[in-house]
Amino acid sequence: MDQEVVQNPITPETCFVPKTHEGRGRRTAVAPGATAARYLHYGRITLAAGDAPISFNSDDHEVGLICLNGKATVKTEGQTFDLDRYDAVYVPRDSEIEVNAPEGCDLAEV
Amino acid sequence: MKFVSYKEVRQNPKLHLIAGKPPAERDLNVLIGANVEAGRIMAGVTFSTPGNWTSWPPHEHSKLLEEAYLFIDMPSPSFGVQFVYTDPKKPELVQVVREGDCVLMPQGYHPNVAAPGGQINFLWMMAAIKEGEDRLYGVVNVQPEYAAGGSGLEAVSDKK
Repeated sequence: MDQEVVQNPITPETCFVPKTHEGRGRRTAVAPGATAARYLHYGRITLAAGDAPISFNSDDHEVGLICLNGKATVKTEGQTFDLDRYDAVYVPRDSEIEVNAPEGCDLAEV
Repeated sequence: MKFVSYKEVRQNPKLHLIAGKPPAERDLNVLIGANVEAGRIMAGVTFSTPGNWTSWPPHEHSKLLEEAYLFIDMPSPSFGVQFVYTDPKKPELVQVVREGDCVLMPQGYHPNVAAPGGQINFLWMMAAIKEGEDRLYGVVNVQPEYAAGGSGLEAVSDKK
């Protein structure tokens, strides 16, 4: 028998997050709990030219990094990838990730 | 881990598609889909033809996947309108969207439209409800009154 899927309701308060492009550094816009998401995460990594690299661990959920603007170098578990606009990297759970962008970048972190 | 080159996605007919016809034409690119071995997540970018609708005909996939749209590359004064609804007569969300805004779709149909003269462009992000087995792109229920022509996503769908 199919398990009943519990769906969160559609409300403006839990389904609309405005202006997530504003800000700097690594920040979270969508995560289970504060929004209608149950499994989905979305955040942003915005580095200006000259900003220090950002390091974090993917911990308990998979990460997709998508380059929205600029160029970024992503290092994870011994591999290095150069991302140009709309290039993406998929990183499994429990992985160390470093994002560096000497000329600046704006990434979405799913 | 896996790196995905946008340039290579553009050359792959399983990942890149001009979907729909005006006034619902858009350029669809699957970045993290069947090309990446993963448990839950998928993502891609969609760029509308100016003034067009996208995600049309309206579809939903709430038993398999939750989704969010992040609006990108919509320089002012471009804007769009995003709908999320289970009842077309009383939509739960009708939201003006601009650069940087994010809309979640925990359930429901979710078409959108660009204001004339500009595009509605977005990064779509999905997470499978049941890890692994629900991670299927393009397996959707089209809103019944618009379903005669199919989903429009058949060329890039994971539907067997």
